[in-house]
Amino acid sequence: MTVPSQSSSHVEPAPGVVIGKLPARKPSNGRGMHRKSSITISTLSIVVGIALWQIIGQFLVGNSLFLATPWQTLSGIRDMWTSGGLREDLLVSGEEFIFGFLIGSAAGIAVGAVIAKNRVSKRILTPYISGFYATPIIALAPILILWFGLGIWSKVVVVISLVIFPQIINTEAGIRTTEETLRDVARSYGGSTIEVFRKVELWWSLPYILAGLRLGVGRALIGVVVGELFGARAGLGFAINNAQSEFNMPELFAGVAIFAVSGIVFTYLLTVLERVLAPWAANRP
Amino acid sequence: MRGVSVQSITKSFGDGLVLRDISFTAGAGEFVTIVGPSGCGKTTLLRIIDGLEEGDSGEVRIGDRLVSGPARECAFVFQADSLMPWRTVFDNAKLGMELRKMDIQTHKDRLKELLQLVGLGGFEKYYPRQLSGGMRQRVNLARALAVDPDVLLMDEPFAALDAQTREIMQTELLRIWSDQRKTVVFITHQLDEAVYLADRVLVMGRKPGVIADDITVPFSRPRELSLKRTGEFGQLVERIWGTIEGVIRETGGI
Ligand SMILES: Nc1ncnc2c1ncn2[C@@H]1O[C@H](COP(=O)(O)OP(=O)(O)O)[C@@H](O)[C@H]1O
Ligand SMILES: [Mg+2]
Repeated sequence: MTVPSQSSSHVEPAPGVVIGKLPARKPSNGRGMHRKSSITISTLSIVVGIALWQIIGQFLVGNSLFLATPWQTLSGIRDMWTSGGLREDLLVSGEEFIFGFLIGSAAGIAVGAVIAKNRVSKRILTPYISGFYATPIIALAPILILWFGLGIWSKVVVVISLVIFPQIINTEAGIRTTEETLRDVARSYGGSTIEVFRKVELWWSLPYILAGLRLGVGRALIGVVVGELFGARAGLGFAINNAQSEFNMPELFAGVAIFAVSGIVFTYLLTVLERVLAPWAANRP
Repeated sequence: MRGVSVQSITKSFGDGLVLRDISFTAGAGEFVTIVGPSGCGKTTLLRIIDGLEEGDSGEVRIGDRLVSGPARECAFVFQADSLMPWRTVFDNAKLGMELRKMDIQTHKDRLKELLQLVGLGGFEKYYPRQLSGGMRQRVNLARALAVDPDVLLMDEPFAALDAQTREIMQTELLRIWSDQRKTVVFITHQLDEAVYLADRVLVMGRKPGVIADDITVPFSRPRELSLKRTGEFGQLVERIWGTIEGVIRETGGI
């Protein structure tokens, strides 16, 4: 969870002087300066990691049954693509991810908002939410597959069940921790309950909601794989499962690598979204 | 412009009687400061005037109108940091206008002028975390003035500032007030601030809060900061301090 912070450098106008021009320092979000170098370091870290993986796979392990090298993994991806399966698998898993993630996040935000604003509903729902959040819901995946079948919707439900609870908890925490003075400001200017919600609480919660989305990405990807392992007709997790039963390590690694890359890409897209939606919030995790 | 009249306001929270039978008036355009030890109910009183809180008994009138619910004639400048961190200076300043359904387009130029007036011209696009404490309070003031209230209610707006910035803000406030004449009820626990700003100083006692004294400040305006260094100023502060000391001795503790 993130907490919006307000500390930064200060500018004070001189006594009685009306300032007509911006000082040299532009309004910045406080992170812009380091963005370039942090991307460079991340890229470097990935390159070094892949190189180590290649070296260990090729010289230390030397047996592709135990560990496929990056190179073998790449050719695994190529084989899967040319055989025509990968496109279909990506589409199926992609749909499961997108639907599950979007529905789960939206529902999580909605439920979080409701329990934050309504004490009775909080009392009713809290035991279930803490219960489901703490249990490994993934263990319920086989039952969900049984109920919802082998098509994409059983996996969508698995993903929803993984994404929704952290988002409920984060959204509720965001609204609950809203600075009371800020609510008072809106009220003192005649703001209604709805306006206080829209103009204060929702904005205050935005960094929390965005953090919930970031948590959700990882959990949604896990949901897709595990859901498909328990029963599917297509999808990347399904392909991983097949590759494993055929001891086809390059294709198994290929499947896993695609998930890892998706994780990196989606998380990165969310940090971009944070920069666009909440440039005012400093010090996020 | 309208004044404020507070009649026999009493307020308790649970068992604790916070305000007992408070009555005073602030005439139209008058600058009234209220001093008193912390916890004596100053904030509660101001919130009742604004209609954010309701008294158990008694009434508040702005002009002739009986206040019930957040008063359109008032604008509140809060003690704590009360800017929306996600809004720029300009958008923070227009929040009150938005909520009071004033047409932003027709008032846009006035809002810009107001930001100039409070010394924030050029800072419209800054976020609150990029501003100093003094500048944030200037934004708070602009937001309050933007709704063109009859009455400005200010709750220790400079309490969090360092001594120097505080003095700057006091002269700034008087300059702005001479331009945008309002009825002001200003709370502080600093006596020199209370005397320097006010036409009248009300001294509050505590447990429960009552008005212990009502002192007219004789100094002419405009006032220079050097006024604070004069003998008459010192004597008046002394006199008020004496009253407060008496109040504290009677009610115990600080
Ligand atoms: N919402 C509230 N609930 C319970 N007690 C309160 C509340 N607001 C204020 N009080 C109590 O009322 C007294 C006066 O508070 P306040 O008006 O904030 O004093 P001041 O502003 O003079 O320091 C304090 O003892 C405070 O604890
Ligand atoms: Mg107070």
